[in-house]
This record gives sequence, C-alpha cells and structure tokens, in this order.
Amino acid sequence: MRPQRFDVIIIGGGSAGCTIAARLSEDPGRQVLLLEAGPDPQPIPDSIKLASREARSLMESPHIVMYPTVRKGDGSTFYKVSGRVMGGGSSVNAMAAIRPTRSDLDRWASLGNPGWSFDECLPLLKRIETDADYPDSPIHGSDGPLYVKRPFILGDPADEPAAAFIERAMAMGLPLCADLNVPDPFGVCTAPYNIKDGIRQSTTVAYLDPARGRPNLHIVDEAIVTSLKITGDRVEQVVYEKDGQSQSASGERVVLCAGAYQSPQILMLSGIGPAAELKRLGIDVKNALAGVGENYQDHATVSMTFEGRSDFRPDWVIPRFRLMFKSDPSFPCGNFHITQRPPTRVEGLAAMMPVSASLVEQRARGRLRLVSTDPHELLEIDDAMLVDPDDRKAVATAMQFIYDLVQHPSMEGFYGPIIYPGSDDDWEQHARNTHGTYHHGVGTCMMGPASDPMAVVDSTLRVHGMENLWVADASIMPTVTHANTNLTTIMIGERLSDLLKEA
Amino acid sequence: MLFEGKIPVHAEPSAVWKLLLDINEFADCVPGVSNVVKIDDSTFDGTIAASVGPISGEFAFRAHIIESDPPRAMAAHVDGTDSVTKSSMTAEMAMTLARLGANETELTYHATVDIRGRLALIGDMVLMATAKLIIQEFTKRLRRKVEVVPAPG
Repeated sequence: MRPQRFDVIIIGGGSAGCTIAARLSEDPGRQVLLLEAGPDPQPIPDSIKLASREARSLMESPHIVMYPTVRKGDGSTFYKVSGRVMGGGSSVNAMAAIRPTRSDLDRWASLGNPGWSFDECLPLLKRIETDADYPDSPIHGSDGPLYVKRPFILGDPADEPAAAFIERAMAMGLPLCADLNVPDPFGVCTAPYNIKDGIRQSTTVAYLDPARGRPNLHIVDEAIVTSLKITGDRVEQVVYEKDGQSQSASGERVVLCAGAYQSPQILMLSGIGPAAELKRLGIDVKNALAGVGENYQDHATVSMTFEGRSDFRPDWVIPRFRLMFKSDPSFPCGNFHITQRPPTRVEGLAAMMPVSASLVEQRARGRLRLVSTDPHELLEIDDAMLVDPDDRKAVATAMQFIYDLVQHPSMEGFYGPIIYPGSDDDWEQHARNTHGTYHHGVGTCMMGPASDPMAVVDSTLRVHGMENLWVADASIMPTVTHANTNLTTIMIGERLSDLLKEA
Repeated sequence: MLFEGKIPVHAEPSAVWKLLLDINEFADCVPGVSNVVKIDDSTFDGTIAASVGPISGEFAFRAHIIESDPPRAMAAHVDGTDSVTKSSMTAEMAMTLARLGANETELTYHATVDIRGRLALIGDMVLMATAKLIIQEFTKRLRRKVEVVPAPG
C-alpha cells in the first residue's frame, strides 16, 4: 500500500536512480518511491535485453530521446541521445563498463569536493562489480551486483584486421594494457562490458530487479516529473504527469536522478537556476543558482574512412578493444579512445573502413537552455564541443596518428587509401564540421563548494541552498571522465546512497 | 549535408543531357541502385542496399525532376526511407551543364540532403564518405557511357 508520505522520492530510474532505489530500500523501514519518465517493461524486451541487439537497438528503439544539436563549425545538425526507459542510459548504451581514471577523480577532489578522490572512491567502484576476469585483484570487486567481463582478452585469436591493428599500434609505441579499468589506462586496452551470458546487465537487471519484491519500494513508470513545489529551502511536493493526469507525491527527501539533460530542466522549471533565464520565461525564482544547465561537457567523436581492401565481414558493431591514445605524452592517461569500426558496404563500391577517435575530455564548457516552460519540450543544447583550440589540435594529432597507423605497408591488406576526409583537407576544420558524439553529456548540475558560483550541489550532492534536495547522476560531474560515463554514474548513485543512509 | 562539385566530361552537353533524362541509363550510373521503376517521364523509384557491419538495410527512394531547361539545367527532388530505422531523407539537387568547347562539358552539381531520424546517428562522416564514393563512381560510369573517344592518330 502506498504511504501518504515517502522517506525518499527518487526522480529518474536510470543508472544512478535504480542504484539508489535498490540501496535505500534495503532498509524495510524506509519508504522509497521511484518515478521513471519512461516505461518499465516486464519482461524486458529482447531489443534491450540481448546484448547482440545493441547497435540495432540504438537505431530502432522507441526508448531513446534525440536532442538536435548544432555544430559550431558549419552550423550543421547532429544528435545527442538519452535513454527514456527503466535503467536509463544503461538500458540503451553500448554496455562498456569503464571506470573513471585516477586523474579524473583526483581532479574532482581538488576542485573542493572532499571524499571524491580516486582512493576514496575505489571502495565504491569495487562494491559495484563482480569482475569475472579479475576476481582476486585488489582493485576489483568480486561480489557486486554488476557483472563485468572482457569479451576479448589480449592474446585471444582476433580477426585479421584487428590483429594487424593491435600489432601496428604496438609498433607505434603503445603498450599493451590488459585491463582498461586500471587507475590511469594507456595503450592497447581490452574493454570490459556489463554483459552476462549475452544479457545486458543494466541497472534494472543488476540493481532494481532483485529489489522489486520489497514492500517499501514503490515504482511508478511513465511518470513525467513536471516540477518540484518548493517552500523556502524545502521541496514539499514532486508534481508529475501519469496517464495524462497531474499527480503529486510528498517526501522527506527528494533525489533528482533524471540525467544531465532532464535534471537541470526539472530544477529550472521549479525555480532553481540562473535568475535571469528563469525570469525571461516568467518562472518564479526560488533559489538563484547560476550553474544550473551550465558546465556542459561531452566527448566529441571524429571518424576517418579508408577504402577497405579485404572481404572482412565482422559480426560485431561495437569494438572489443580500443586504443587509449595520448595526444600529449605528458598526460597522465590516454585522452582518446581510438576504435576500429565495422565496414560500410554499398553494392558497386569499395568497402569503407572507418576508424574513429573520441576525445574523452573537453576544455570549453557548453550550456543547456530552457526553450519554454513546457516540461515536454527538449532543452536547447549549446555543447561547445571542439570550440577550444587545444581540443581541435588534439583531435588533429589523433587523426594523424590514425592515418599513420593505417597507411602503413603492414596494414595495406586491410586498409586502402583514405576516402574521407581527404589527405589534403584541413582536418581541424573537418572535425569541427562533421564530428559526432560518444554520447557522454555531463556536468550540468556541477558539484563544487558554495564558494564556486557555478556549483549546484555540494560534495554530499545536496543542492546548495536547499535542505532536502539532492542531485545524483551524470550532471554532477565537475569534469567529464576519461571514460564512458555509465559506471561513474552508478558510482555516484552508490555514494549518494551511503550519504543518505548516514544522514 | 551539402554536396557540391564539378564533373568535366568529354562529350557534348546534349549527350550528357540525354543520359540524365534516360532513367535506366542514369540509374545505371549510380552504384547500388536497383529495382528501378519509371513512374512517368520525370519520376522514378528505386532502392539502394547498404550494410554497416552485420546490419543490412535498404533505402527506398523516389526521384522527381521538378525543373528542366534542356540541355542546360535540371532540378530534382528526392524522398526516401530506410528499411531499418524508418528514417526519412530528402534531397534537393540542382545540376547545370556548361559547354566548354567541342566535346567538353562541365556538369556542376549542388545537393542539400536532410536526414531525419535514427539514420542521422550513424554520423555524417560515414554518410559523407559514402556519398563521396558514390559521386566518384557516378563520374566514372557517366564518362564511360557518354564520352567521345578520340580516334587514334
């Protein structure tokens, strides 16, 4: 039976929200409400469940929201995506289970966030996982809810282009790095994935499903939160739409886990955000926080396409290994993920073999803007990707590395001449005009001390100026991680769970 | 996405124009096109099959000539849908033919392509690379069909 008032209301059943719902409902005396904007299909459909359907799912799934975004280079449009289904991003992503690096977390701590250094977060990272490859390692976990395994191990038989790619990368000076989840990875790395026996281990599967039977855990799906009703420094009610009707719930504590796009939107619609922006839209300012929607960062991806020389027909779309490349040798860890991509084929044309480079950091900061007070309207994204000259230089360096790697006699059985961009093109400009995204938007409710005017939450993830409101998702990251962001987001959920249990 | 360029052809504009208007001949110059069906003198349907890794799909399109100024200029509109993502594509194309001399024609093309839906997630770089190869192959086939081979001296 649903209580009149909950101890905790969690808004968003994504990578962090499912984690928090499961952890906080471990105490049967705590009444927990989880609101998810998307559906909670039971059983989970094959399009989400089967790892082999991942790429197809990205192309077909009804559970993906696409945000049109304008490139700074030539004004063309590309798309950011987010998952709108129980599990959030973890139900639609490529399932890479990659940790934040030591340098990422130590930087967060150095920005005035005590408790977030790598060494302090390592117990959380271990607690999340059951690492099937390194159960006895002092840096890995062996009994956590999230199953992690590397489907390809260095030394395993690889398809010929992959084997040649690895060998050539090593000849160019990259070391072998058998575990991408070491503190500062660099080199030819095998990627861990949260896939068990071919089944996606989303946070729905790993965290929420084992907790579903608890009478103190209440789950409402297809519940779109439209605003928080705020009095003074407290959230009194969470207002949401369900089946076309406006409903509300009251809770002692409210945790916003709606992701880097939705969390700032809900805050701003509730009167928490940049005062001028809110006033422009006629929103009553409850708590002026200049940083809401600011500090946006993502990973830019550029591709180079070469003529394919072999009849290589892989059964994968998502590559099983990646190069962690440093555009500057002095960096503590790789700042690019470089990956082979499967060939594109059109009858009558040579096969096209792309290689992509994802810049896993961003120097410039973008922002999200409310377009209107309609909670169904998508935010406008100004992502500032590849605006900073050093980011562009880094991309050009990575592109040159790819070119030199592929255009070598040892690779000519697989890769022919470059098709696109042309070898004489301006690669920096080309990257600005055609880049895509690795889909790792973060940072829009930045964690930081009250002395930082752009900080939205403090190091306990509580919203500055609010007594009972927390944010726990990818939006709180002060800087984007040098890694795919799902595992970090789960870690943030684990941390918030501990903080609320202790509070 | 914008595609533009010039293709020099060793042929008279009238010969190039004739090929562009002959739906079967024109389609034969575009790699991957199959199932060509003439709807009327200015419209035809067709499909292009493509694969990315293990995912294969088919792109069904209708091309319609909307302006014609023989043998100098033509504008066409193309609508299409892909079989995997049901994304839509529209293209506005303009081609002009300029006579540069005896058996010397310059074909100038300008196309703006708009993709709506998941297909856009594949990424402009992959789509642009594909378009670049298609244009290269189109150029080869067009020349093969219409160019006048000089008699051996």
